[in-house]
Amino acid sequence: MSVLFKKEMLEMVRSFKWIWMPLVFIALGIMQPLTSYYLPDILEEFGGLPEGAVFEIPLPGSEQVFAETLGQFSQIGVFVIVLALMGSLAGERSSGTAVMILAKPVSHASYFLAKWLAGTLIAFISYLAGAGAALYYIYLLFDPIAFQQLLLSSFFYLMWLIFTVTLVLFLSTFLKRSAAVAGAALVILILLALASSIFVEPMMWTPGHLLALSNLAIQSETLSGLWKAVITTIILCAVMIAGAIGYLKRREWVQG
Amino acid sequence: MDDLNFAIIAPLAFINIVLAVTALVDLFKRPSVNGPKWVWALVIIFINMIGPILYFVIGRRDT
Repeated sequence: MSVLFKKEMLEMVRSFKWIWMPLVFIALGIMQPLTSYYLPDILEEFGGLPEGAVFEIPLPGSEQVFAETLGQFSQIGVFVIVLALMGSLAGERSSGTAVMILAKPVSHASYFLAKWLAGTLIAFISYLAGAGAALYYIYLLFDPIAFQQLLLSSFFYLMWLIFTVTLVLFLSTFLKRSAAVAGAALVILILLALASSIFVEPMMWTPGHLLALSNLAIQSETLSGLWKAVITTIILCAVMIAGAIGYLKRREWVQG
Repeated sequence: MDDLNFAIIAPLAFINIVLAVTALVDLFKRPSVNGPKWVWALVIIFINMIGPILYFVIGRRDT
């Protein structure tokens, strides 16, 4: 397991994922507080407001800015994670690397779990780097945010990231082309997030609700349906991991 | 808009430069990439942030 995990980490260093993934999240984390803060100036400069028009735009609260940053993470950030991990298994299957690795005395479970662990780790570090940058800028330009709210909000967000990573690796086991993996993963993730924001009540038990929860937690509002969403996510992830490992064990996998 | 602005925006510029330089160094060291190298160089240099990421995700060819 640890040898395979090291191989995954080395692979991520070689492909520069350890540089560009955290950097993209940091950039997103910096950009959102900046645009929120300078929005009045930006409108004045480029908005083409009539001469003498006076608009008082109230500065948003720091919690709202952080919630908007999380919104950026779930759009561009999740896109980045999907692109970075789409070829994890599909790519190794088509390049023949998988045949060589699985010919050695390693179990299929540790082959998959090493990838899962490395993917989760890089997603976590990227999120933490981005959230850290956002918090620093919010601290500079707005007010600080209470630590407890941050912790709770991050918990739900990290659960959503675990779900994202698991889904991408699951699809990467079944589908042969990385482009298909990315497409399918993005459609599923976007549908989940959209459905949860439109049909709040009936979708409360799905992983998509985690995004709403991380938003509510940061604005210290009451959380409803929290355990339902967390438990379904854990069960779904476990099922996907078991399913992927089961599928890997079939003889045809490496040959296909 | 004063000096403070620059200090606040500088890290963004720095991130873009790090991404572009890493991508360009890899582009020149790699024997072959998906597509013509000069197109990738232009993409990396002129498309902010997204250019280098595109290169890392679909430009590099694993050998």
